[in-house]
Amino acid sequence: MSKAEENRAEKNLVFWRSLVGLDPEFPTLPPIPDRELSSLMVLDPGQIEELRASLGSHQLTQVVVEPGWGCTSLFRYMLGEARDRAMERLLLPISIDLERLFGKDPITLDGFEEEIKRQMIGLLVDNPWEQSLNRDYYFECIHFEYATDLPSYKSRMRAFLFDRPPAFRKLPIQFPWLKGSLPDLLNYLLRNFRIQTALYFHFPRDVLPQPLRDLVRSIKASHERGGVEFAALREVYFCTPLQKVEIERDFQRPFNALRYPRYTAAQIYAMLLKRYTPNVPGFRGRNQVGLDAVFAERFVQDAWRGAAALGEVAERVKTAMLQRLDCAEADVPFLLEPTPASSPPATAAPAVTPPRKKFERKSRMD
Amino acid sequence: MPTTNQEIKRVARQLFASSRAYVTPFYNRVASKQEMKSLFADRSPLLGGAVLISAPMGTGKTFFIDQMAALLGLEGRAKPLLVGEVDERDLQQAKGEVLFVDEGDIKTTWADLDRGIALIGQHLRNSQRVSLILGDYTLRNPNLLRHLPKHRFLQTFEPLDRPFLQGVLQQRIREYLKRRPEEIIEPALYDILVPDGAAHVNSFRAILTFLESLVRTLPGDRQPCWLTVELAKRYVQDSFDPTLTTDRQENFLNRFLDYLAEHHPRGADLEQGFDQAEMLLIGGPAGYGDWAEFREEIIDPFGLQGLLLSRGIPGLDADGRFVRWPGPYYPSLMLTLMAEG
Repeated sequence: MSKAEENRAEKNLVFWRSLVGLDPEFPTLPPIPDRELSSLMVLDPGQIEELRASLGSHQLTQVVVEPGWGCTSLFRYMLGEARDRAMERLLLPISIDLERLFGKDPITLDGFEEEIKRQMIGLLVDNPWEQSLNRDYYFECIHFEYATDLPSYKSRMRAFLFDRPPAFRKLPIQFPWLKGSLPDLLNYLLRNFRIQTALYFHFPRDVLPQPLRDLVRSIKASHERGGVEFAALREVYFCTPLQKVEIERDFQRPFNALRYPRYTAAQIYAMLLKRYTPNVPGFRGRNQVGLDAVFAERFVQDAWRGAAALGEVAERVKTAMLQRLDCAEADVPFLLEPTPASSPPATAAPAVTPPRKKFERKSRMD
Repeated sequence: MPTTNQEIKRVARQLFASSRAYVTPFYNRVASKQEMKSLFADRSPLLGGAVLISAPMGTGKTFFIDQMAALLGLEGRAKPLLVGEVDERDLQQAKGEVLFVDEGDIKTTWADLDRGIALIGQHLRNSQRVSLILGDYTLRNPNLLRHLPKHRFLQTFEPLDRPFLQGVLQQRIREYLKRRPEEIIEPALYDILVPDGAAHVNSFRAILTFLESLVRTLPGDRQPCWLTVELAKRYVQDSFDPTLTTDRQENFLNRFLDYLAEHHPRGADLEQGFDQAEMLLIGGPAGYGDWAEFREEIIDPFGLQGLLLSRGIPGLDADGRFVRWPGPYYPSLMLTLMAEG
């Protein structure tokens, strides 16, 4: 497409979006804000049940997602769900997300354990556990004394912990319970409250191997200092196939590895449907119509074939839209459908990397 | 009465535990215990120096030291010192006569290993304490050892062979099922799990993890538990999923499996492992002629994925790269079983 054609197509895209009342981001799929995850995520209930079952059965779990196919969103969804239900499940979900934690600092045993302790106390303060737990033990953990008012104490502690998170060394001064070793704290929660702690691990797609090795070393050392009761701690790793290998190679344990499949074209179209609702300007304000009234599903179906990542599907959809909109403004349709030429024939080979195939043993040919 | 699938599945986590989540009974290491006792009976020759236990990851070094902790007067177990993270303050603050340092292995960068061992060496010279350092074969690298002028290796740390594995499992069955143990593993499967020739790369953690995964595939019925080569092969064929990025890698893997099946069935006769020349010889028909290329496409990715095990001493190469998997090489348990298919 020449520069002039590209400009014309881009201009027409802006025109079409405004005509049908779609946001300028359409058709991209940017990360979903935490508060909207439960409403906007498109999930396969069967797959999610399988994840919940593995976590519930107390197995070491790996959720393996091909890079670029929504691992981060899935992690945030599962973590958010666990946090919402922490009291019901008696489970403290701790997020060890290398995308957000540690920054450029190397991961050390101390740093790893301090982060767990920081989140433990945060979750204990931030939930109304006083309604269900033995108050004496609970108040010991959060260092609350009866003479003061619990709601205002918790409010102050929330501000202390979350408004400007303090350096870890200040936490045991405020919460002496945290001076105990991590195994002691985990066992305390289990023995006195029946509360289990679950570590939810997540890694950036492009994380280098060394931070993972540092993390594995910390996990191993933490386990080997001993004394954590088996039921006190669960672990779940959201990772790519290569990260999975790195996690289990130097500290082998019997993981239950669950492959979370790539999204189907229909699921991706459903994502667009959930996120974008055309608001067509009308005589009495705006009329909402379904996305299918303005945008054909075939765009996604064509783009999905052989795409290497979710982001690439969106890019390819946009390219196909621009191809179709490379026309005079008068010819821009209300219902956008791919140009016949832009659709690959049904038998075409995948344009980009196909899904990874499993190794099959074959005898050599010579 | 034979041990049933149901019984084994019920206690699988304890039976095959390889971490301290379960307090499992200790077994064997009689010679190592004796050597440690003799060494530490008179500590004066050790003062200002280090005793090193250098064996592959997952062979029970830390567990062994737990057993010896009281004898050695180890007080530092509540907060272990790690080679890659240790600093002067930690060393000063560590209590007890014996300084215990763990994780001197390839999980750590070379720079951190070098820095950590150098700091420990300096501390030992100044404090005249004794250190006990655990790690894999990296600890044998002369460039690290130069920081520890007074050092000695524990000589007797027993490698994992068949009688050792059998003994551990029998003892644990007795412990957790409270009964006289019956064999649950077909003899031919023992040949593959702990090939005699690969005792120096065999890992408890790898084998116990494999057995626990295998037991998970059993039906929870009252049939006698009998873990066979056939069962293990089926499990591996279902779960083996290496990441291969080129056709050449796939071609090599097929050739390597054929070679193993033909020349080293069930991991037999692999005392010396495969050296660089042998690996290239197998890789030649798959299109590999140059070692640098072969290392980049086969040795490193296969080592990274745990498909190849190494008995060499990791260290820096001429280009300053940390070679984590130097020869001689051994096939992993998964590869040995895949070769059987």
